[in-house]
Amino acid sequence: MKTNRTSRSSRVPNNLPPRLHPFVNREEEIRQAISALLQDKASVVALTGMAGIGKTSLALEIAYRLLDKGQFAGGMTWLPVRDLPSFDDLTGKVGTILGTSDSEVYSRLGSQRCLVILDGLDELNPHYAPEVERFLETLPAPSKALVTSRKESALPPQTTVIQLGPFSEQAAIEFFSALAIHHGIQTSEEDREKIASIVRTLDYHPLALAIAASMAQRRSFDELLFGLQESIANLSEREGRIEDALKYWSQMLETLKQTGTYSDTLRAKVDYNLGRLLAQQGRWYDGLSLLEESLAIRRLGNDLNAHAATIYQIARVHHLIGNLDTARIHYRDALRLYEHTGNAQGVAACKTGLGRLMIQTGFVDDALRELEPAKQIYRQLGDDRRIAEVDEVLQVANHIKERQPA
Amino acid sequence: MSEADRIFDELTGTLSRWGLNEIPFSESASSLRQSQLRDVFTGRTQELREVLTLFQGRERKRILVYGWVGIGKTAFILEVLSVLQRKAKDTLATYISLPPETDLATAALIALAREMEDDEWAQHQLNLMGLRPKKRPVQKTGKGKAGISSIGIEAEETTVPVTPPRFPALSFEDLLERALKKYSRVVIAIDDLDKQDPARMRELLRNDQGMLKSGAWFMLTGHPSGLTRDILTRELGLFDLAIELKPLDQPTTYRMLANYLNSARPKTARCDPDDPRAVYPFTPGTARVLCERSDGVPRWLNRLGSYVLLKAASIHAEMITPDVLQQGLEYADQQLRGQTGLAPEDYYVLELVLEKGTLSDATVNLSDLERLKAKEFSEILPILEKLIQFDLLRRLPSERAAEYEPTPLLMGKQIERKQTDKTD
Repeated sequence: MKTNRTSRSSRVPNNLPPRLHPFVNREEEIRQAISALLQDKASVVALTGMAGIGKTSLALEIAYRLLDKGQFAGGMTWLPVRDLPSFDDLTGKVGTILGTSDSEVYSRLGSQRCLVILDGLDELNPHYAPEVERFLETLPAPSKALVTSRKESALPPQTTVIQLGPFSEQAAIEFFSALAIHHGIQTSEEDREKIASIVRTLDYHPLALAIAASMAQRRSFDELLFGLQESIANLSEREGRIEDALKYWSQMLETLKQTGTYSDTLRAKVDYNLGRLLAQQGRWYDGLSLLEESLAIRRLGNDLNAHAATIYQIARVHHLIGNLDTARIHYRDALRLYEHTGNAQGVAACKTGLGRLMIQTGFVDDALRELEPAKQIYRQLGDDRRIAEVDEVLQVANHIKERQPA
Repeated sequence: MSEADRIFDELTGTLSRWGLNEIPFSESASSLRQSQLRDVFTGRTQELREVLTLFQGRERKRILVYGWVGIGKTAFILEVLSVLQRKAKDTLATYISLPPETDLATAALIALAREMEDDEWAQHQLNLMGLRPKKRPVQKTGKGKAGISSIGIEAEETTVPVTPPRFPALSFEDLLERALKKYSRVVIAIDDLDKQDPARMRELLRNDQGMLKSGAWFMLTGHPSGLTRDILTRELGLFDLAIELKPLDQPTTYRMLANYLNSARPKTARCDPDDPRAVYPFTPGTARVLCERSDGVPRWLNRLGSYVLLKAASIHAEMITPDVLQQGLEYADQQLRGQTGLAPEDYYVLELVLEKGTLSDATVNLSDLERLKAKEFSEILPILEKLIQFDLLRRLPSERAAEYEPTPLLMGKQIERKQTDKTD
């Protein structure tokens, strides 16, 4: 285990990991934590908050600030809880930093001012959790513990708790900008609005901002923003939060209309997704209008799958509205393209749509001729959910067929 | 005398030898005067009975008249309206072809306001919409070759865009109320519903449901594909009666031909349709061939009849023998294929249909479409619809697929009538 001996802090034994990027903001929280640690009050100070809010970074920054001041001269031990296999390992590591044996750890903690930092207390192994809790509760003065945790319930009583929330917009912008510069990215005054959009999109969440800042090494802020909005929109949709997904796609469309400098491919993608979701939410004509705009662009491109997908969605909306003639023509158009590209999923979706439509128009045998192959394809793809959907429609078709006069 | 004078005299002379004042055929009933329509309207007895029976009742009704392009929907509703104007007491009947980009309520308002010439408020509504009272704001454009547009055939009319009122349905209701103070019944016929974009039209029809349920009688026309088909299958509740006009049978078509030719003769020279002279300069034989060729579609009868007579006149034929008829049909084929307004891409599509016999969304393949520089059948739909309007193609009455084939007006292919079932 590496022990740091650095410049002014070289007198204080510690195993603090290096700081990977500049630290900005959180000055109030730092002040509160240092104040609590240096005063003779509770022996445990806890930093709490949701995942990725910056608890670990803050704990490390606090430790370095104290180190720079030469505080906790007895030693600072940095312990990521998930890496501890046992309680003995905890005391063993503390002992190594303090330069004493396991059995002497308590006595050393009681005689010298040391700081034990436990990062991620909520991830404590239940097997030795009681021992760690007792360790914290009985931590002798003048030593202190600084812990981080997602849950306050994991903390011992008499702990001074400092809660971390998301950044303010200003703080988020400064944080992101500092990280971007750290990654070698030049920013200008013109980028400020784009950075503001990025931090808003990510809800001012520090970890998300840190990841986004590192991604900015490989793309422009505009591309980054779009990429983020698209990812979040897709995630929202997968989680059933359609209104959120709509919000992000709408924001992207607004940006595209205002700047007008983006590729047609991106515009077609945004129109397609926004149109599709609007139609899903019952705004058929608004959705149809956007889908047709997307189609106009995709007709000129070479991506046949994207082209087919747009036609398929248009077919679905016409089907919902009741324009069965138009829907049928579009399903067949999409099917033709999907067959050409060998997109089995697409073929099956179109055949299912056609099957439903044929039932509605009274051509049950035609419906069966579409639905049976669709089911076969879904079977090959292992898509149980879709198999079940097609089965339901097949049941209706077979039922009608049985009741038809011979 | 100029060359043009000489040609005019020659053609008029030939017509005169045939006993005709003019070539009586027209592409659309809306270009005929009421008296002319009365002379040529033939058949549709059953359908007339159904509609006129409704008009014996007091409660207002909504009637849909549907059928393929050129089957006679406009003639039918104009005939109904003219009967009502002659026979029904206290009835105000009016007709309008739905202008592009216009909703039903605005169209109904225009139609009604035009008929209420003495009503100041009605005329004021027309002014506000940018329309001149009493007259339709038309621009006449010629259609087809010079020969057709100069003799007897009415040119196609287009209308200028109107400024719709802010609340057309409410304005219409107010005007209707005024009309119903003077008349016990108001009948409004709105033609050409399906010339609008189908997706939008469905929305507009839904939006104007309230107006359609107001105190006026409505007659709307449409054709089975696209919007009207979907309305029929899903929203029959919107109409009290939906009448399909099917192709006429051969005997009725023959009588229609006789009626058209009679209408161009002085009253004293008119013959009974059973008299062989009724179809002169056709012989009964060539008249029957012409009728078969028209396949029971009045518009096709008119177009073929017109071309055949023109050709016969230009070669100074005394009568239309089989040989003259053949020449006339070839001339018709030539003229139809050479109509102004057809673009190269229209011809590519026409060629493909002629090659395949039938073009359908169910059987077309990607390489067929790529020939037409398309990847979707729906991309060529506007061209197919245009070719229908030009009488070069027809859409078959299939509900399984969108199927198109050449009309019998084109020579070179024997088109067999297809039997298609509505259900399995």
